[in-house]
Amino acid sequence: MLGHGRWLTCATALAVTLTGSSGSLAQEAPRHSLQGFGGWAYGKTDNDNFFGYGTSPEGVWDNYSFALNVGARPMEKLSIRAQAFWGDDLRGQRTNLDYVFAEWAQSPSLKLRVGKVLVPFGLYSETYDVGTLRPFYLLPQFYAGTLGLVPKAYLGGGVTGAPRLGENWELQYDAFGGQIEFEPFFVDRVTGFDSATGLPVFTRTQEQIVGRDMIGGRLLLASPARGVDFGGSVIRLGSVDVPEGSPLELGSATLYNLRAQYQTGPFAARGEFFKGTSEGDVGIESLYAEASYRFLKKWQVAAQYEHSEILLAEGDSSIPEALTRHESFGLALNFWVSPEFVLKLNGYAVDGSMLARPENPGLAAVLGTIEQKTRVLVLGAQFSF
Amino acid sequence: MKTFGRAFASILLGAAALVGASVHAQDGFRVIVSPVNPVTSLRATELSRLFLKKTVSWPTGAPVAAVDQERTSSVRRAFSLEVHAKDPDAIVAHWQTMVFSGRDTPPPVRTSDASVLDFVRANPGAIGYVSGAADTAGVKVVAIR
Repeated sequence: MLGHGRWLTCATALAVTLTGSSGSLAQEAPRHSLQGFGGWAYGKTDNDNFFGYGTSPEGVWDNYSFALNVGARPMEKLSIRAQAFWGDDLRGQRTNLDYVFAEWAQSPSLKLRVGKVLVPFGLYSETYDVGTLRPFYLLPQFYAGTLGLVPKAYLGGGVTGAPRLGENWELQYDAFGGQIEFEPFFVDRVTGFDSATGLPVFTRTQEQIVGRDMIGGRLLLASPARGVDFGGSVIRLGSVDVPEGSPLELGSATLYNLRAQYQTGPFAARGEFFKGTSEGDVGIESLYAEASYRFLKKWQVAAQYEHSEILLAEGDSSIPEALTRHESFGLALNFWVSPEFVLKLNGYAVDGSMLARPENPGLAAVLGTIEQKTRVLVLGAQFSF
Repeated sequence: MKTFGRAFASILLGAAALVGASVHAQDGFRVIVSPVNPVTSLRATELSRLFLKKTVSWPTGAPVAAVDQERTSSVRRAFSLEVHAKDPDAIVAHWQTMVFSGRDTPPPVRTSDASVLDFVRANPGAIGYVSGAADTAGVKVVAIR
């Protein structure tokens, strides 16, 4: 894997080459394209808890991201797409090749994709970090919270298309297979006991789950003219590799997603239900609903409700009960300078410590000192081009 | 005299029908294609599909080459509201989704009626739109039905 500096050098060289060869790329025939997005936010909580990777009791200023999205069309039906990402938050600085794949478009109803391909799962999995496509700065937490459940891409191949159904409807489908690397997440494990107090000693490590022998699919019924789409996805993992020493025993696993969204004029509403089950009787359920309304052309208000829960087998106490539940209400007031640049003021009232947790959640859970209610402020800007 | 009157009335009725077929287009924009394109009229839904790249070839099999105008232009706004039934900002958001999900890229953007006309004249499969007052010599105006 390339180091951070080499990724930056390669991406910059590619960007300069494309820019130099095609002038203003957005205005030329689409043989090449160069787009990007990014954002920055300040995040703070009102107690000892951290929420997501961008808010802390002291306030987080180092919370920014940038991505370059490049495309090329060497032949009429062949396109190559790639996206490089740089980000900095409480996980530290990160660089990643979000996806790189080739697509052969036989027709709008049948396209073949091979490589590291975006996962067609859920409303936001394919536009993970693009903040100008949603009302809240942060994604719903089951996507990108501290459990990092929804992956950005899979390694393998798939087919996709959107055949027409009559005048105003289309059926969007995806079928894919390969391997999935889930987003990294932190785990606090008991690594010993304090001889003086007898209290457990927790050590935090960053882990990553890999799903192998993966097959998945998505079906959506959509009417772009009416602004509505609904459907679902499923991903089956034949086996799941967990970090060495992890108490998790997942075996095989299945992820389900149902979603719906509706947009008309200034009003938009969307919701999703997500469920993960495993052979090892560890599961997770999550749902959220959000609505937004634009007024005075550039202003927007939005509200969001989210509920998540870790499901353990009866008698399983590997995860303290206080860390298995999350509920939040969010409000947003945004100013859209343009569709490509938005200023966001978001607030959340969080109930539960599954995702809003202190520096040492394991010990705090054992001692019963975790604060269950947290208020979160996020103030930032996001852009795309 | 009566024959002349009936003929004149027929001509007037025919002209009125033609005007009625495209009057809402001429209010703010006109859709244009290459003169070699056999298409003479399109439904708004068909037109929308062409510009959203959901229909990628003409009935002749030739590839479609749609061209947009700047998001902030009045002619694009008129076209977008009439054809897509959405304002340009909503169409921009649609293309952001398509681009960043790796599924497609938007049509190229031209900054003026003149550059749209140049593009359409030079590309047999091209389709674009210009303001109602633009000089459409060298291209064919398509009615919206």
